[in-house]
Amino acid sequence: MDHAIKLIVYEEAASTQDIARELAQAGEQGPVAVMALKQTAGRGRSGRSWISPPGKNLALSALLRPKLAPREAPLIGLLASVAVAAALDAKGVPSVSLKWPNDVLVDGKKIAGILPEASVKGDSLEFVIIGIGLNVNSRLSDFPPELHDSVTSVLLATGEEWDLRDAARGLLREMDALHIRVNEEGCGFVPYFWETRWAHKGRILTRDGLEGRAEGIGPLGSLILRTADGRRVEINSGQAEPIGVETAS
Amino acid sequence: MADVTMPMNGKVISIKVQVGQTVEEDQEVVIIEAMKMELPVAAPEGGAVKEIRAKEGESYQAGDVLVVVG
Repeated sequence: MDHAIKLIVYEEAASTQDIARELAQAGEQGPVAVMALKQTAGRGRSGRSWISPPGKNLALSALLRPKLAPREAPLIGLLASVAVAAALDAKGVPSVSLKWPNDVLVDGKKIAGILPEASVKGDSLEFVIIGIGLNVNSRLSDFPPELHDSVTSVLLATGEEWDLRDAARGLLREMDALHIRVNEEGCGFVPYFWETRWAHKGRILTRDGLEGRAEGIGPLGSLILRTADGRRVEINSGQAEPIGVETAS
Repeated sequence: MADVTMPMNGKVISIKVQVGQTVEEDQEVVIIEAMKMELPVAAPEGGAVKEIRAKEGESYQAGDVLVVVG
């Protein structure tokens, strides 16, 4: 094994996120990741269901206890998207980029989403759970027709299937290296790392009626937009869409 | 008096208590989201909910008081 994050593989599980949280609440120190070859009740952000045909896509939740302050915790979600992108690079997937805050795109189409959760007690960050849904061996026909222009998979991007356990190991290798770096030197490098893979830097983004040019990523992971009248606006939640281009959320 | 404060810059997505309700120490009071990270915020001490200053869907800065428990 070339990563320190222990991997637990379930043939079938309702939700890897729930299993990881139960492990954390039972005192598991981690780092540990739970993956399910078949996930029957996966969910995305805000309780949305996550479309995952059995055995085709990677559903994985990693329990980490990074040495960070609570306000720095969201950076781990951004870091996870960098880890996914690096693993896809290593697999030979071309044109990998990131959409703020933590979607992974290939040729502008969504290939992976991150569902980060955290637990804070007082002034301490107790743990972080990083849920990752990565489209690995899905074909277009596995997705609803309305998503065909906005989603992709490793198979669609490379023409080759990827064993799900190998995909998990590739991802954990990258996440492990970044997690170690955070514990050694803090999270100051994360925004810079993330920005080098940003799909939309300099583009006009819109969110809740606000439009601005994507200027940068703040030290705690926020999106910094510059409006047409010169205002600098910092966004800490939700997501922002590039004008004129549709991607899955 | 124990204030439930925002642990990070982000948005309140759910308030799980009402004024007058009694809460226990460590009971989840508010759910917040920051950079898509979801986080339950718990009461630091038990007591009665005196005031709810946060609104669902609004953004707050780290340290802002969301709920007053006393």
